[in-house]
Amino acid sequence: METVSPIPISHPTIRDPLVVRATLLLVAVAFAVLFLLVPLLAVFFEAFQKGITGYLAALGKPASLSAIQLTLLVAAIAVPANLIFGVAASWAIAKFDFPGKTVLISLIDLPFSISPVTSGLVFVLLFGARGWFGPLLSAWNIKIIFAVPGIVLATVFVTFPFVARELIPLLTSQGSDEEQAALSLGANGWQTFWRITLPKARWGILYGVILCNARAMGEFGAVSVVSGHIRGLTNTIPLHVEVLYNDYDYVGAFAVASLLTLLALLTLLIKAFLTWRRADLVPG
Amino acid sequence: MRIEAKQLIRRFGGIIALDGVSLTVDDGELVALLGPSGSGKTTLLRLVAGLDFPDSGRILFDGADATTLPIQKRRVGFVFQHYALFRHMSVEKNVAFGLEVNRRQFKMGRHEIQDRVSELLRLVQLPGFEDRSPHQLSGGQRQRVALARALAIEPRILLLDEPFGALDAKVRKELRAWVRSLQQQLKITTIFVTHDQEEALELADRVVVMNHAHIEQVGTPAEVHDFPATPFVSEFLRGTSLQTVPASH
Repeated sequence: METVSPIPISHPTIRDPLVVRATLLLVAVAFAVLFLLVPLLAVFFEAFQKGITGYLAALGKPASLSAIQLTLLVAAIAVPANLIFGVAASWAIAKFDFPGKTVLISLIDLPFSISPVTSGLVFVLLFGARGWFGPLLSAWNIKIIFAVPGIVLATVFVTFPFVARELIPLLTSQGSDEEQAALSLGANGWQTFWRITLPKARWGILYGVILCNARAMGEFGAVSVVSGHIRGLTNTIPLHVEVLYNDYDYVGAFAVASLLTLLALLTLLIKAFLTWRRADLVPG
Repeated sequence: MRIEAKQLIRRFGGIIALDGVSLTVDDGELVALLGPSGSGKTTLLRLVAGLDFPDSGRILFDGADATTLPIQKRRVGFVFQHYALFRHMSVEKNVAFGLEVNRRQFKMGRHEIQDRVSELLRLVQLPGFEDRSPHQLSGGQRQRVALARALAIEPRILLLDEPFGALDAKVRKELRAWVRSLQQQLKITTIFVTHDQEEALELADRVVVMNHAHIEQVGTPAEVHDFPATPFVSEFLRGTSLQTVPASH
């Protein structure tokens, strides 16, 4: 605990010929430009085909605005839900031993390993008109599939692992010495959680939250299955992009898509900041 | 405070960590639990602290049963092997923690807590370190902050788990002598765990030599050094010299 773990530095022992190094570098740069930078620029290039007024007009259309609104609403429900779940689950997994712990860890990973389309279909199977709970729901006049609740459910499912996956290794590596110290100083369990466990994991939590948010706003597959693509009602931003593109409204499609691109850039920026910020929280 | 452990048994799965251990520590005494790793010394310390509970046996504080008393109610100062400072808090917040979570009990206002923290930091010879962050401190400084934090709640006993284990040799020597004089000044019943024979013989009023979940011998440093009760003690202490820190009265 005396020293901060050093950043690994590679020491090249063999000097490759200049030609080899230049070729490798060139290939890497070419790939990055071709597959990352060009598409990124293309989004904005297409979005501004008709100038800034065309861009703003495309975003200002009622269907676009309602898609933005719905996406914000879905994220505002899914992210806090998975934040609470993620903190609770990772705390339990990191601090306690209980039967079924490995099962819980595997279950948390399930949404990552399952195709989003499949997870969407599962909800249709459960809550659709012909689904298991379909008759019950229609009797109560509750609509889940092809409505906002279905979109929220599918998003929560898909973004389930982000916070927990980030926190489990962090909390495990931090151990429980600080919690025990707090208890020995007279703090109760509640005080220990709020004053010690949560604050010392705050950067990790934030990291998980922004990744969770990026996915919640960008999710296409699962949401597409349960949404029904009703314009102005059940279209989120990614779904709306597809609708506009299929209508040959390229400026509109790319203008709306540029919002998600900006979100991605912002997410990257915050991620970089958090990685840097967490570096000085290593020693105890 | 007088501590009595009676016939403590603690198992972890199939492994027995303490097999009927009894020990009495008198008020104001400084006792070392000495033994190789896996001998049960840390388990015994954690049972006294209330960080863990025995499967059977009793622990008495001044004659009153404390066996099932939760750690919050025991008022023990515990210094962890790696100090366990709250990494997201300043030194001041670390030391003040025990006073702030027990405001009702201590009835201290913000300024009183500040004054108490400054006083404690002077006691551990770190005056003016209030605003430092734990990761800006050296190992020895962290240890002293951990000690100040433990002392803040006016503990009835002080428990130290391998207190000098993570320090380099020179700092270790200095801190040993300092901890000894601090303990004499405060007259607080203290138990510390160590695997270092010289450390135990140099610091403690009495040494408890442990091996395989048992106590092999309890005695003054001179007794265990000169008259080892079992072959294990004799073997374990072979080659160590007996030199005590001059008591500073």
